[in-house]
Amino acid sequence: MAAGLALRTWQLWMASAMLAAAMVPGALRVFNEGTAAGNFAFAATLANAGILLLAILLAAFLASYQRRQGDLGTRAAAQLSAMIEATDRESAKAEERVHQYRMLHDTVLSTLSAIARGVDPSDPLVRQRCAADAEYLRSIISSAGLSNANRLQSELATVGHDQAALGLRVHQHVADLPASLPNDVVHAIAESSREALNNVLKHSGADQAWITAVGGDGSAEGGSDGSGKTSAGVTVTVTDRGRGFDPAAGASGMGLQQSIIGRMREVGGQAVVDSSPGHGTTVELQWPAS
Amino acid sequence: MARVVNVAAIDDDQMLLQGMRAWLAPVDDVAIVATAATVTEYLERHGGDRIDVVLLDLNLRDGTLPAENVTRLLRGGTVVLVVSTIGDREHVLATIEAGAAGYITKDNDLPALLDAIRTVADGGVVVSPELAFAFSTDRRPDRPQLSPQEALVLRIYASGATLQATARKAGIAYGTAREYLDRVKRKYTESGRPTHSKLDLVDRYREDRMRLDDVPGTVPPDQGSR
Repeated sequence: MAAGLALRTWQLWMASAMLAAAMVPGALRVFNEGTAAGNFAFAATLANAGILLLAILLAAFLASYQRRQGDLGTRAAAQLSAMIEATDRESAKAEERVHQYRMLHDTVLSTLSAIARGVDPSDPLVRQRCAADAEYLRSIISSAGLSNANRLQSELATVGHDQAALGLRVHQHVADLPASLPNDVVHAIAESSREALNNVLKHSGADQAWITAVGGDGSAEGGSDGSGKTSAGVTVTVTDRGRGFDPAAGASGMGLQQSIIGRMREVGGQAVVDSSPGHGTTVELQWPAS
Repeated sequence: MARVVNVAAIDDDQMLLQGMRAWLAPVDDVAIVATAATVTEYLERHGGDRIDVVLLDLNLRDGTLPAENVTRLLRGGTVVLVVSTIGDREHVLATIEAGAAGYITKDNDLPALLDAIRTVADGGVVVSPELAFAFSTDRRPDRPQLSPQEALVLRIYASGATLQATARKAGIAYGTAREYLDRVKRKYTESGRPTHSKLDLVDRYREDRMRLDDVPGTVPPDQGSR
């Protein structure tokens, strides 16, 4: 917007200057004739050029005034959208807290209450539930300082807890997640992870799995600069150490194509499934797609 | 059966110590021979015992620094394996730099714990997936420099893959993957070796805390957070 105005002012200057320059030779010729009429014509041309110059100055002033107003407008709009964003973030945080309280109520609090009331804690079912609750707490507490109200972290913790209740121990490691991610992306990653864990439970024969979630494209800095700026993207991997499969032989019945690959593609991400017989399976979810 | 590994556990959670005893009771070659709530208590009561491996809780509630605890235990000539409920990246890395042989979280099952204990007792290093994750997400500017291959192996292994699967994915031999992991661990331990400045830091930390203790209404740094 400001750039457009500047361009227009610049063009105006050029056009006016050329016009004024074009008048000069004519005016000089008339002056050289030395007649009274010539003198009059010269004065008139000079006056015209003067008026033109004044008009140019006025136009330039108006243009810069307009530009300044435009800048003010842009700044006000930016401030407004920043305020709206902050409010959105706040309400997302509040929503997240409500979600976590509900989860804590349904898990840790009710388990502890049941044990306090006299349920036998050595019962395998109670112990399994305790382990699941502990894993949930661990996953929402870990790296809490870095991404306190991060929705993705909490969604993944919930997914992990749901699986733990089914007998799959899910270790969750999270680092440097971006401060915010679009809701549909969070949803797609969480549901794809859930599907990947379902597969672990159904097909791998393993009783534990790992979820790691790292900001950026997931690459360790290694020998590079190590600046470690948290970038906007995220990479989540779901890994098991189970029996694996041969990807070339196809993996029908695992819901990989629709439930994971298709789902990630819909939100502009990607999913890569890597497996080999006897070597477990890794599903890598990345957003945005590289 | 080979020799028995004598283990001491330092943790201020009495329930956990009991659980650990019960857990290891049926195991023939690993025996818990001492427990203590603090490093000071351990050194006073068991400093002279033949202990092969000390399991040290990362976050003791007495306000001691994890890395300093490791340093004190190492002076007694034992091997230290750090355990914790939650992996606090900064402190985990500091204990490894202070010379701890390994780090694992308490949610590991018995075979994983035994495996770690036996390995460090034999002088090996334990790079658990959780420690690999702490290494691979280390963003400190003064972190040890890793080669691209080391960083790749670290990242795959940190995602929970077995070392075998990691080697396959990285397109290298199993032994090479193992060597990369060990080398990363070694780089961290070596980067922590010039401990002069670190001990100075510890002293300064103590002074700071004393000063804080003098001011009414303030909480020493370590006790407020957990």
